[in-house]
Amino acid sequence: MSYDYLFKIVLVGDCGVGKTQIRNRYTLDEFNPQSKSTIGVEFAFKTVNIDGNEVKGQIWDTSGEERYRAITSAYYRGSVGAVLVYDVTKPKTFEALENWASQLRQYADENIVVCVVGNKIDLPTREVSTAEAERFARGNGFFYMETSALDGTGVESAFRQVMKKIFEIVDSRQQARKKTVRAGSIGKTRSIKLTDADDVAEPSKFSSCCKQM
Amino acid sequence: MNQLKDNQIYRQFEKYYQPVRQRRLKRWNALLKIHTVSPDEKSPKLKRFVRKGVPHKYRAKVWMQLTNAQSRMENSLGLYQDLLTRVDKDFKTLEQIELDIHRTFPDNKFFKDGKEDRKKLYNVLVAFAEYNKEIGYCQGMNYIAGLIVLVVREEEKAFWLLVCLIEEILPEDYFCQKLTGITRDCSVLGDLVKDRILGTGDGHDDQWDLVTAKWFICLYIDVLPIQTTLRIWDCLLFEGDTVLFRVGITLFNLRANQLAKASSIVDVIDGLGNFAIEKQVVNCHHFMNLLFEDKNAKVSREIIEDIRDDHRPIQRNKPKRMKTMLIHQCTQRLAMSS
Repeated sequence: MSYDYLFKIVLVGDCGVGKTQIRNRYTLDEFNPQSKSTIGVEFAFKTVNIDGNEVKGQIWDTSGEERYRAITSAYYRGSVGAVLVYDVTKPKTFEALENWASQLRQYADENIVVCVVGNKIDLPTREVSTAEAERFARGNGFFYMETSALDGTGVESAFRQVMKKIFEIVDSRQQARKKTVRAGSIGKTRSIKLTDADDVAEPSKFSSCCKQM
Repeated sequence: MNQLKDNQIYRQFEKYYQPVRQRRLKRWNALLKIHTVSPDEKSPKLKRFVRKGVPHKYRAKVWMQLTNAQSRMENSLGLYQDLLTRVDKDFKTLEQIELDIHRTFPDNKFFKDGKEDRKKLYNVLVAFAEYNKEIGYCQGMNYIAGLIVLVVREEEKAFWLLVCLIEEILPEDYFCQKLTGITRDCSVLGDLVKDRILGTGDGHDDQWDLVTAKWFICLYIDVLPIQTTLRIWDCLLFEGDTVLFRVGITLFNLRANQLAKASSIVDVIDGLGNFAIEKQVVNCHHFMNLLFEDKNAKVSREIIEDIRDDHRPIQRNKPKRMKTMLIHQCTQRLAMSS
């Protein structure tokens, strides 16, 4: 399927908060109660229409295991959006957001669009309040959404919000720069073959188009 | 439709493999009458037999005896139970292990909710974390210990096999805090693949690690079909970690055409595809032949150690390495440097 834009969006957050379930709910509209620990990295795609443009989201999903951070700099590279997930029933996973946010600041584009997502709101044992989480998100300039990957609540909107914001940034820059950023160049990752030494990610294009946020 | 096709691949393979299995079992019955299995008795004959697959009936016993697991268990009677009783109940690691237990082989009947194997797996991982506090627990070990539990069945045995695998067979820095060994071996595999298959001698691209890290972290569990994984493990326990590279090269080799067109990491992952439904991988007998007969996949310990040295930031292991170098290599080096 053809598309006008490709956005790389990373899912981050502690182990067991439901990153893979959120990805599956968003891209396949599925929830598998028999989930497996994610090891390494997995992708899924979903194309949505934003203001008449076909925008393809490339959703990257990896484990929250602390030791895997050794390989995460490559994971973040070229990402223009992030969904930062915690479990509303586990305050520890909320407290960890600070750490995840600093990971993003360290490895991703400094103007990456971030949505904090409080997942598992279908469970009766919530321990992190909406107000508290909203405060954290606002303080960092992130969006905030609450979701249930189990019943689907909020998942679509969380991604849509991120994609729409990225689109707006890119679009406003394009108005100014006459479409210098074309399909594929945004979120394009470094070529594995490395046949062309110059064929590297161009987050610079993105960051320059985000700087006026 | 796809599901149907997948089942067909497995059915065809079963039809082929059943008589092979029976033939191998007969040969093993005869072998074990005259051949003992121990870490000190690694004859070329046994190596040949192991490469052709250990029959499931003997797998637990052979795995325990090929490694030091059996002897370490016998020399430390009672230690396993001790470890389990002295575990600190607030141990942060317990929480992480608990989280992963129900996410290990969730569709395997032995690991279903309430099944005994879940408890075994939990105990084995907790005991290991207590036994080797430096490594503790790292995600991925749940799959490794899970496979061991499925094969050896008894948890104390499973524990000792896990200990031997992680402490003796794999490089010591595999599951350490920074996964140094895993990322290094991803680079080593990357070099071999670029050199032998893709023909691009470029430097290391760390995006490779995103693709192949799981292969090393899980020792191909949940990457390849279970029968194929078990056959690889037979050789891993006998011959050591070089077999992991043979597998990696062979997998890339199978996809050489698709990968030639890859221009991003996403293309590479796409190009590699799902090996669980690849005929040539599902047929483990055929796959193992490729591993040992294809000259591209041939790697010696010396080659691996040499490339590993290239990826070690501090070459403090260099003197140790010299010891393992063969005489003719030393002469070769001297000749080259003069």
